[in-house]
Amino acid sequence: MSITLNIPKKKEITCDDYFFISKGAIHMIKNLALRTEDFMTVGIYTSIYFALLFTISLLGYIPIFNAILPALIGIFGGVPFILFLAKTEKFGMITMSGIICGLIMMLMGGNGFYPLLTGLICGFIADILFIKLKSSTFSMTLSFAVFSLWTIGLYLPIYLHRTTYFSNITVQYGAEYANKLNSYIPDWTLFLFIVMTFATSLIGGLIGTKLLTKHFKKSGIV
Amino acid sequence: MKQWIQIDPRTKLLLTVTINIITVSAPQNGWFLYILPILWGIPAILLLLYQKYKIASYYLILLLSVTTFQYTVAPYIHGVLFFLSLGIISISLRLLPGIMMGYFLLSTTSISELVAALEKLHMPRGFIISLSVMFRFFPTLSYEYIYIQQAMAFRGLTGFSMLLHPVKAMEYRLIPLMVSASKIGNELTMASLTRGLSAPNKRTNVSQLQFYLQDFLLITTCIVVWLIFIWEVFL
Repeated sequence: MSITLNIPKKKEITCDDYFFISKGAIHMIKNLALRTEDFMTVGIYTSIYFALLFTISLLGYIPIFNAILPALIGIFGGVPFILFLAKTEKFGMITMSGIICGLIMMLMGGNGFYPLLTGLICGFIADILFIKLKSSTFSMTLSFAVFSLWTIGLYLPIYLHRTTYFSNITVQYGAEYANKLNSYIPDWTLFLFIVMTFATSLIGGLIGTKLLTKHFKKSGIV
Repeated sequence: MKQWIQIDPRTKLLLTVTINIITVSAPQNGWFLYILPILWGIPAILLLLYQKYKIASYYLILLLSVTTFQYTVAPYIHGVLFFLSLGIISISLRLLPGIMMGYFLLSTTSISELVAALEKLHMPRGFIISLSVMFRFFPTLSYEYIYIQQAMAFRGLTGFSMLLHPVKAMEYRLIPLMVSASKIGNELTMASLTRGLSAPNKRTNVSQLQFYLQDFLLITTCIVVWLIFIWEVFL
């Protein structure tokens, strides 16, 4: 048997409402929980972001482009993702987007389970930042920059499984060769990747917010 | 053409996850000297079974040429070129099977089959909705992009002139794509809500999933590989 509650609707729910749990817990949960429409929004905008990301990552098969791939994703991915953030108002949507991106990269990219892990973590942090800071140009840019750090997961296996990655070389040519090969990709480059991704995503986020006000607000999409 | 050997989407998912994780993170010694080639071969065999002869032959040729290069040519070259080629070989041997398996999963599974499989695996509802909307949306995006590309040809923003005006070329492609995508997305949302996507009942599905002998074979292979992996790496 189900009990129907007749609760008056409130238009905007902010994070401060968490403090009034004793008063309106049921009311809040009803409004904050993700509904089917929200999941569809996630699917639609993540597909645009992911299609862009996939097209760019095809460039990654050219050796030099492989190194600047996160930077390219940061700059170009900003536009669809900022539009997605403009449509987001509930907690959990960015996390969902991160999980989906990570999952598809895990299933198709041959990168182990690291993209899923980083997608979950970065999406969750970006979600918290976005909800806590309220919707503004600054919070959009910042949470996009945090979100795009998930692309580091595509590089993590090379750093974490260094010895196993090149173990076929160790077996054939001895550890000396493998060590020399390792020295071509030193550990500090991972830090470089993180900084580069973050910086370029900030730029990409700014471009995205500019275009958001220039085009989407005018045409009534947002 | 009727597919005479069916593989359950759940088996495909398990295989994809197994191949992706194990070919990336397993060491190439001991037991894995024999297991890794089997894992490399599975996508090729499955692609052949599903009549994807072209891509399967590309994959096999690439795999064979890379391994023969590793054992025959590589010992005779020296210096930076040697390291570069070895690096590319070992990375591509790690990545290729996973990519091929992912391609196999996505190209041979229809969306309704995937949804049925995920529902049987008791995945969260919202997750399934997002994922299926996403896969439903990729073809739409590509159609829309073709139209925008034609419009850009009118404006003379294709080919070489894209390099002269990179910002314009990107902006004039991305923005219309996103505007039309979000409009189509709104319509899609309304249509599917009208058809009762948000109803809390258990939904039925056209695709009937069933495990056959080949599924059991592949699943036992996966389990054995995982057990050996855990034994070798963590114990």
